[in-house]
Amino acid sequence: MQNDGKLTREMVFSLIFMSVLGNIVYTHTWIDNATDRSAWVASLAGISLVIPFAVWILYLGKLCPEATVFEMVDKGLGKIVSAVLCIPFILINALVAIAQLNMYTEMVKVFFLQNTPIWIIMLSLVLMGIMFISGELTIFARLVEALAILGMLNYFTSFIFAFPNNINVEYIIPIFDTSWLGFIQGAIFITGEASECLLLLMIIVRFIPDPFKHYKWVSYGIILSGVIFSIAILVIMTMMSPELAKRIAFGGVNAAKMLQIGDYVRGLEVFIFGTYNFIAVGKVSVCLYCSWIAMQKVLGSNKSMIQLFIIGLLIFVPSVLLGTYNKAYFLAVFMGNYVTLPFTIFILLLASISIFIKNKKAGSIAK
Amino acid sequence: MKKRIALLLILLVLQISICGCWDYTEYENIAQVEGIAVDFDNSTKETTMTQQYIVPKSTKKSDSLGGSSGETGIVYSAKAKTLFDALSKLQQVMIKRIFYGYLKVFILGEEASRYNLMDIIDLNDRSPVIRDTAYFVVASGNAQKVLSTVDENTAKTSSEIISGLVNNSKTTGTAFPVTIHDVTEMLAIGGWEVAVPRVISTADDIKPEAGQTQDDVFLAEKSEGGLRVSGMAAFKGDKFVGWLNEKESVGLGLIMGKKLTMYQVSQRPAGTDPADILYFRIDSSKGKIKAKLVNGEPEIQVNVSIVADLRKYYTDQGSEFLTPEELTRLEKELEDSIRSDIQAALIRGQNELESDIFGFGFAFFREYPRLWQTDYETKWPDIFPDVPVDVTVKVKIQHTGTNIRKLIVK
Repeated sequence: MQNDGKLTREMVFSLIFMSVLGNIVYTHTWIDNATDRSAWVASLAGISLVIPFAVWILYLGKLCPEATVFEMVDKGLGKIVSAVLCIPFILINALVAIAQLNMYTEMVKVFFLQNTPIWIIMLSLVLMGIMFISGELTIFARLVEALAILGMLNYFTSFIFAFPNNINVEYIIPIFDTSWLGFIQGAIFITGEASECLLLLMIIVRFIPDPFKHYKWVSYGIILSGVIFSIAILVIMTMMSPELAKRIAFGGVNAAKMLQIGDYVRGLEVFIFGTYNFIAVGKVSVCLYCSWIAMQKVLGSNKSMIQLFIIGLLIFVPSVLLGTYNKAYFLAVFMGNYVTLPFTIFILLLASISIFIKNKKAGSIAK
Repeated sequence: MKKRIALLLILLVLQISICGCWDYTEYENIAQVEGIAVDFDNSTKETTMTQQYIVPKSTKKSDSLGGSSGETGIVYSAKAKTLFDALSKLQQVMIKRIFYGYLKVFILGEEASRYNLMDIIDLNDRSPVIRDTAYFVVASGNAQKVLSTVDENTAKTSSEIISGLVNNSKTTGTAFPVTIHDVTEMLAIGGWEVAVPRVISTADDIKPEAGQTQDDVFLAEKSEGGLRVSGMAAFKGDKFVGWLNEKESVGLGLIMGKKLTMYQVSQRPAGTDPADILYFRIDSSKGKIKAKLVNGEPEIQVNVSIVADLRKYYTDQGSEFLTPEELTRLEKELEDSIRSDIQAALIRGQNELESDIFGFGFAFFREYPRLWQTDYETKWPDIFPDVPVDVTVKVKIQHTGTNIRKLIVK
C-alpha cells in the first residue's frame, strides 16, 4: 500500500464512476413498482444523494491526511476498534462481489453461454480481478479509465441504432405518475445501492491529493454515473415500456435484443454485454481491493499475495455455492436497503469521533 | 518472484478456462428454426407445435426429408398435453440441436389464440433463445397448415414469405407488423389490448405424411397453396375475440398512428360505377389519440392527418382544370373515405368486440395518471364501449402528377 502513488483527477473520476455502477445495474428494477415512469429521475436523484457522504469522507481526509478511514479510526480509537471494523467491511465487500458475480453470471448463461458451468465464468472474473489489483493502485485506476470509456462507448454505440424506430416517447409520459412517497422510497434505495462507491472511497481517500480541495473530482464522477445510468434507464423504458422494463433485470441486454437492421444486422446485445462485463470486472476488482487493504489492516502485513488469494476464495467459493441469480438479486437488494449505507455512516461517525479525540489529545498535549 | 509465479498461474488458468468453450457448435450441427406454429385442440386439451427448419445445403437430403426441393424447409409437428412436451418431442426427432436465433415468424392457430397465448408468451419471456423481433401472426384456422404451405412459384419457405408479407403489409394498410415483443407490451400495458395480423393459407387441410408418421410426432405434409396476410386478430386480455376485416384494419392502423403508405379510393355509394371512383396514394399518415374529461366523463379525440397523391382523375365529373377549389373537393372525398375506415374500426372494436385495441385507455392514463390509477383502471373494460370518440381527419393532396388538366378522350 505504501508503494501506491497518488491518483490523478481522471483516475479518481473513473474509479468513482465505475464503483457507483455495481449491483445497481441489476437491482434498479426493485424501485420500479414504487417509482413507475419516474424511475430514471429517482435514479439520478438517488445517486446524487451519495455526494454529501462522499464529501464527508473527503473532509475527514483533509483532517487526517494520508490515511484510509480505518487508519483514521485507528489514530483516535485504537488498533483493536479499527481491526474489528475492518472485518464487517471485508464481509460487506465480499457480499457485494458475490451478488455481482452471480447476477453477471446468470446474464451470461441466459443470453450467451448456456452450457458453460457457472464456476468457470466466476473463476475467470475473480482471477482477472486478482491480476488487475495485484500491482499498484494507479495501474488499476488507469485500467478502469479505459474500461469506463470502452463500456460507455459500447453501450451507446448499440443504442444509437434504436433511434428513431424503437423509441416510443409515449412510454415515458407522464414523467411523474407516482406518489412523492414512492419516488422518495425509490431514490433512497438507489442511494443505498450507489453507496457501494463509498466503500472504495473510504480506502482511496488516502491516495487523493488534497482530498477535500478536490471534492469535485469525486462529485463529478458520481453525477456523471447518475446521468449515464438514468439515461440508460430512460432509453430502456422508451424502447420496451416501463411495464416490461420493471420486470427484468438485464434491461440493457433485453432492449438491445430488440434492435435489428434489415434481416441480418442483429445481435447488438454483444456490445451491451461488453459494458456489463466491464462493470462486473471493475466491481469485483474494486471489492477485492477494498477487502485486501482491510485485511492488511487486520493482519498488519503489506500487500501479501496469499491474503489476496484468500480474499479471492472468500468471494469465489460462496459465489459458486450461492449459484442462483434470484438469491443474489435479493442479497443485493438487502445490502442496498439495510447494510451498505448504514454501515458507511456508522464508520464515518466513528472516524469523525476518532479524529475529534485525536485532535483533542493533540490540543491537550500542546497546552 | 512469488508474485510473478502467481500471476503466471492465473494467466494459465484463465487461458485454459476461457479457451475451453462449452457452447461451441458447428453450423452443420444445428437445426435452424425459421417458423413456429402452435395449435390447440380444446376437445382433447392437446397442443400441437410445428416447426420449420432450414437445412444447410451440405446436409440436404430432399428425398428422405419430404421436401420437394429442400429449399422450402422441413416441417415437423409434435402433439402433447403441454407446449414444453411438444417442444421436447420435436427435439427427439431432430438429430441436430434446435436453434431459434433466426426465427422469423410465430404463428398462433385460431383456437390456440383463445386458450394458450400466455403459455407461449411466458415461454418466450423466460427463455430468451427466441428473438422478440420475430413477427407474431394469428392463423385463420390451423397454424400448422399455414406453416406447411408451399408456394410452388418461389423457393422461399412459408416463414420467409409470411415475414415478407407482414413487412409489406404497411403498403396496403390491411395489416401492420407486430412482433412478439409488441404483443408482450400490449399485454402488459394497461388500457391497450392486443391486435396482430391475420395470415391465411389457401392450401388444403394438412395430413400427416404417409410412411413417416408416429402417433404424436410427424413430418408434416407440404401442401401447395398461397399465403396472404390480411386483416387483424383482436384480443381481449389474453383471449382472441374476433377478426377485423381489411377496412377495419386500415382504420385501426390509422387510429394507432401507424405509418401506412397505401392506396385508397374515394368513398362512393354502393352500386357506383368503378370508373367513377377516384384513386389516391397515401404518402404519409399520422394519428394521435388524445383523452380528455368532459363534464367528468372520459372522451377520446382521434386526430388523423394524411398526405396523399391523386392517382386518377380523368373520369371525375369535376372541372377540367385541377384548381385549388377542385383539390379541396377531392380532399373532402378522401377525408370521407378515411373517416369511414376509422368509423368501421371503431364500431368493430368498441361496440362489437368491446376490446380496446386502439389503446384509448393508455392515452387516458397518460393524460390523467392519478385518475386512471384510482378510478378507471379496473372499470375501463366496462366503460370503454360507451366512451365517445370524436374523429378529426385532415387530408392534404400534395401531388397530382405532371398534368394540371384531366385527360379528355376524343
